[in-house]
Amino acid sequence: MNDSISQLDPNRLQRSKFSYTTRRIPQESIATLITGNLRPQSGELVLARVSGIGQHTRLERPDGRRCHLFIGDEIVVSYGHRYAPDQFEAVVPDNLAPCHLVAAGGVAGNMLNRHRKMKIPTHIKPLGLLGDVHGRRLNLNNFKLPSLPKPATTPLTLAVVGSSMNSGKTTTVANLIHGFTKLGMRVGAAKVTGTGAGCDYWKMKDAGAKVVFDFIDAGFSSTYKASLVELAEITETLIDNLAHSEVDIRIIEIADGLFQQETAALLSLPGFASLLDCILFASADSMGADAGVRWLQQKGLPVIAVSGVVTSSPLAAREIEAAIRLPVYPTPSLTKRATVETILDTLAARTEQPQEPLAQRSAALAVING
Amino acid sequence: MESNTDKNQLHTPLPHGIVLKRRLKAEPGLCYFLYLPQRDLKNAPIFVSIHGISRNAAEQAFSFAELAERYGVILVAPQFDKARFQGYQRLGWGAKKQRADQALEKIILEVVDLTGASNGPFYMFGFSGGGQFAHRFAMAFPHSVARLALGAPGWYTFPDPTQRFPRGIKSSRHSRLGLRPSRFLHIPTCVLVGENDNLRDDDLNKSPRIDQQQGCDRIERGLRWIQAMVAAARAREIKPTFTFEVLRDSDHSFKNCIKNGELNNRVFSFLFGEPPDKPAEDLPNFPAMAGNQKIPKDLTCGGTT
Repeated sequence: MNDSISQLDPNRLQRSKFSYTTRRIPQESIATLITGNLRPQSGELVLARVSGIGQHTRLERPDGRRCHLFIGDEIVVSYGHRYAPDQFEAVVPDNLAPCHLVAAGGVAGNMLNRHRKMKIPTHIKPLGLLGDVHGRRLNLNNFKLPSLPKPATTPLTLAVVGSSMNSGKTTTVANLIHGFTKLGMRVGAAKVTGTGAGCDYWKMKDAGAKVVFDFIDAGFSSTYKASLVELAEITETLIDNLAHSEVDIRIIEIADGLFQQETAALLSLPGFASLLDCILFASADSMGADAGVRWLQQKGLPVIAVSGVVTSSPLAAREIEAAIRLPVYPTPSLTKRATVETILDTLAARTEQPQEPLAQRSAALAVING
Repeated sequence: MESNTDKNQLHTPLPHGIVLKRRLKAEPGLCYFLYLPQRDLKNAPIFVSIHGISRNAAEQAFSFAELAERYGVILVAPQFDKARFQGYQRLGWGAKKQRADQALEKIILEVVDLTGASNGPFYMFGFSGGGQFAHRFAMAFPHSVARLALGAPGWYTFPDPTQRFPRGIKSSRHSRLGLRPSRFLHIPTCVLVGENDNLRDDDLNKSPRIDQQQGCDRIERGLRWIQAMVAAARAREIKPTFTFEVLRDSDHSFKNCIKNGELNNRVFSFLFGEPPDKPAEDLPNFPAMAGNQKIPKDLTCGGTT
């Protein structure tokens, strides 16, 4: 069957519920609906009709409000894979057949697996890919942030990685943002991997970050199954744009646990360590902290402390400190002046050690990209 | 003119080879014990020994004098009297009492001026409450301390920004401290505790908050503090130089720690390295010291000698 391109009624588009993943797409850039025997690509925009309400009863809008979904609603979402051990695993389907809403931020995919606590996903029926006035398929990638030249000086860069989903990474990031902001520092934050959803983005904003980006700003609805080159490009785009945003410190979150393939790949990139001044490891439990910190240290990554869910337990915190011989910061303490001053003191001490020259640091990802 | 006269008086030669008790010239109410080894003192290192709450500065001075002679170091043991320096273990910070850290600085300045000793970082030891003072002093004035030995402090200031001073390094409600771990973590430190010092005696701080944070006895607290210092150092890529030693057949008695645990020898070995070949008894003109010289029961403060 040949592709069919039809003009899209602006009023229909106006009535549609746009999702968080489409937040960089100006509505006026959407003009056509493309149907036919199409194989959707990750990041492409799709107009879909809600055909059955399941796990996700609401859709997050670009402004963060979660609007209720009703059967028959037309929604604008983007195709993407999803990796969420506590929710769904899903992939981009091969065609425009009915599929699932696999993330409240507006990700369409075919569910492969779900956590036992999850209901069946909300069912959606794709009505067509969205195109521009010339009938070209629109992809988040068309609206990504520009690639910027390396700044002359780079702000401090702190990364938060974790043992798993729900290990406290975003809370760690948000508390750090709040703590550094209270010190009078301008903080930029970015979530470089994950699945499109605004809760982390808004939490970083609410914590006081001057500027926040996520992988959507780099043109991806999800980073699951992204190639190594793509992951490097996302990271480079986001941290360079943060550097050009007049911030004093950049805090980046890398989603999921270290066993997640993209997280592991990104952290294993040669030269990745040189992009960071330090890493805080968020863990759900003490064994996870021990294994995670050792994993990071084996890769030469500059992990300086443990935080996250596990720090709710003083006994677990003590176990961790004894096992890995690094400080443990309870997550709430990261909002406190004294704790972030100690982190800055740690960074200052580390920068007094011999380091790679700045030119090498900033060229690291370029090398990765070949 | 008056200051010149003072200076001349200060430079009156002091006897070497005996433990002196002196009043601080600038503050006569403040006493300290001083031992000068029988050799040229120009740029000699200074060893500071801080007493516990029994205020046994004299006992400490006499216990370390022989080693000070052998190693050629100047021994200084301040006497923080109870009336003015009640909270000396916590440096006197936040209390209405006199600042013990400032008192020590004055004493060191006088000793350097009197003897020509090194005015660089000094070597510090403290026992029990003196250990508390010593490690807090080192945290507050890291550039003043070259190496640190702590004998069984009851509790510690952890490098923990979530706890207020003196349990942690967070500023107290009354003062902004500015303790910088990246500075004090460079100081090589040894904690020495008697193997039987695991009793919750009357002198031990048994506050629930201390128990919770640091453990229930001096051994556990020492180990946890070392662990925390190592963790903080490793986070900063500072090579950890913190050690914990157990003193054989010793409890919390300073006397037993010296007698059974060889505390004095171990402190000097840690601070200054292996002892010189010649024992002090073989050195010329060395009067028998620790063994034969009795500690006077009432050592009143002398003037300038």
